Amino acid sequence: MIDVYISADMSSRSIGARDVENTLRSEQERRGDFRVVTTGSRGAFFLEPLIEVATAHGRVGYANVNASDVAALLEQGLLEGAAIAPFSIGVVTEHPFFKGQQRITFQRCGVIETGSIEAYENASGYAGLRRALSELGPAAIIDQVKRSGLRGRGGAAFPTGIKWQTVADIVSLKKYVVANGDEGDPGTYADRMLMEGDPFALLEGMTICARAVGAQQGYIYIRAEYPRAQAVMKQAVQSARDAGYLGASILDSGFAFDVDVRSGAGAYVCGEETALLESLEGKRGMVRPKPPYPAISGLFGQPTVINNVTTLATIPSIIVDGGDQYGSIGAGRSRGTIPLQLAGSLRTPGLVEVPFGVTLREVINTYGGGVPEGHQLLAVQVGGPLGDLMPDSGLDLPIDFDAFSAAGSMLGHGGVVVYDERTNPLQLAHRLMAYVAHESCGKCAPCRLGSQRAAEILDAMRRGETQPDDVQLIDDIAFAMRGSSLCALGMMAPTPVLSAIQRFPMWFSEVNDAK
Amino acid sequence: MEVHAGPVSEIIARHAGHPEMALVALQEIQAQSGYIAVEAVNALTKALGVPEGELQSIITFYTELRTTPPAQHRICVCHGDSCAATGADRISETVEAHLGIAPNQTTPDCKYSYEHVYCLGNCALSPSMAIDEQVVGRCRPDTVVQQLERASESPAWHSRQDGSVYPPGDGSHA
Ligand SMILES: Cc1cc2nc3c(=O)[nH]c(=O)nc-3n(C[C@H](O)[C@H](O)[C@H](O)COP(=O)(O)O)c2cc1C
Ligand code: SF4
Ligand code: FES
Repeated sequence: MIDVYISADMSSRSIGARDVENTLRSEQERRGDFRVVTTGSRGAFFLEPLIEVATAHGRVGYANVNASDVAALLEQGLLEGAAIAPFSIGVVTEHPFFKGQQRITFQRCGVIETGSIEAYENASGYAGLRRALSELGPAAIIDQVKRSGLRGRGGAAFPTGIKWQTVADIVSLKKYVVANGDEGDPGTYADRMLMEGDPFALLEGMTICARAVGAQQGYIYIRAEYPRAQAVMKQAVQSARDAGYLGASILDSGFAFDVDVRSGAGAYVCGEETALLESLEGKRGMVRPKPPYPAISGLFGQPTVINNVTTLATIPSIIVDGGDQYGSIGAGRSRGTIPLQLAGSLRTPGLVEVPFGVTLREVINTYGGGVPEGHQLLAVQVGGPLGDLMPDSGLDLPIDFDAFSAAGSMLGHGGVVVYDERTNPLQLAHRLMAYVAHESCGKCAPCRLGSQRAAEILDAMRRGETQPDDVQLIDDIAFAMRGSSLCALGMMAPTPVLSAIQRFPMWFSEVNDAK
Repeated sequence: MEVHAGPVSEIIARHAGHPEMALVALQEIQAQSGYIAVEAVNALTKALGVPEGELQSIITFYTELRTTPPAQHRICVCHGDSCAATGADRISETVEAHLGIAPNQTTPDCKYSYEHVYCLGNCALSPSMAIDEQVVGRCRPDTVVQQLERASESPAWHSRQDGSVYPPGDGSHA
């Protein structure tokens, strides 16, 4: 039976993949000579809806298909992998968008049937957990993670092995593993794709972590805006329990671990780890002062590993291939690969997994296709809404946590948003500050009041009512926010606004000719 | 008023004695009824042992929780970074002109509510919006109105919910 693949990823469905899938299914019933397999997306969203067919030469793709094209494609030899203009893109992995990528964390996403534990096992899934349970003890698992050099992909880039070691070293009857699937940074979607496309990789990573630190219970906290990711993860948890990969004695090893899926309720700050823990405890998502760090006193006061979804989903590969193998890739102290999420004004945005060390310009041009014809790049914002606005001249920076922070930027969760000349820098600065004012949890005055006041000033400025000392005032507010906010939301909020003022000063001056 | 025997009282009973389940219980009640009624808050206070003021502060903290019945259809236009960079303003202008309301308002016939959101995770296909639970990518001002009309023909979204957070069937892979 020939396998025909179609993505059930939320994004793919936002431009018609569901209709294509339904049409494929009715054709399948009529013809009976193929099987429809739903996958996640590979991340080349400009090719979606994308149908793939397994052939002797590999998986062949048909891009930008409409439901109304399906019957004709089947008649013209789609099942044999025939070249059919204008849809054929040949062997998918040979496509220029994929050719230079190095897929480790996303090796299965968009490739295997999503939600199928057999498909996962056939793609080396759960080999890491088997190794962790039979061959490696807790100390050896942590040693592998340390050797890999893996640093958290959620924003702070903290070494994962050290975090795990801290929790493992504490004697406690109860410990927790929490997966942070809040993915609040606008412009990011890697965690969502993983949860929808390769849910067992996250569960396996969490289970290996639990084994390493001695935790019995895990939680996956997924933002409310991701209903499909929640549904897929819940179903995967059930399948993993049924197959003995979660529960009272995992793979008959005597090791017990289970996972619960929880939904966020619309609060950006709940992505911050301590606010997330408060939310998991059923309360308002107020940031806790640190120390104590969650590793020492986390969920319900117990030692807790909290890691980003992408971080945890990378663990199985590290355990299967060895930490040294993963650590041999990368640049400086940024080891391995990072999934960058390209967004904004680009010709071919999508998810790109590359080794650390390539330059931002390379990523934007080679994979993102540059800004669309007739437009010019204004600025690139990396690392979410609190990230620096980089001008064209800053794009030769290598993708590397430390190179970014040395340049006053941050890589964060790997979101890359490109703005072109159609964006007004003053509007942009206002929008970003208004966002912080909206999302501040309100615990500290500089963040709560400062963001409110700065947003008001910027609002007046964009209406043409700039006062002589406005920029100075914003500077003062920024100083207070940076110096005395409890968490990075308040501390980093001034970054994009100050960089907008610095890079586009004429927009913020009293006599504004640019407007 | 009391909460009558039924799905909501079952939710409350299931979490009785567990203050740490306050947020989950509120989410489940909302998924069941479309909103969180005063009576449900009162009943929850007693069952969970969480003071009413605390429950109220949880409800106001989380923007997804609401205490009044929702409109039949929920329109969310994304103004996250990627969508803002690719013309979100034009999408919301079109929606506002068509519905005749501003963000965070509901049409007088309670058919549509309209809000701005900050990222639907659909950033490679910006600009995006969500009509009920359906995310629409690569929105264009000239097709948005058609999408809104199509939504008005489908049943109210919260009446399609089965108590889970997501409509039935969509998490399945069969
Ligand atoms: C305001 C704010 C929002 C955050 N949002 C997220 C998020 O959505 N997802 C995430 O994984 N980490 C987020 N973080 C970072 C977390 O606090 C934490 O560092 C991370 O979950 C740790 O996992 P990692 O070590 O695997 O990166 C946020 C931090 C701040 C200050
Ligand atoms: S900096 Fe802002 S978001 Fe962070 S704890 Fe303070 S008030 Fe809350
Ligand atoms: S910024 Fe609009 S979907 Fe992400």
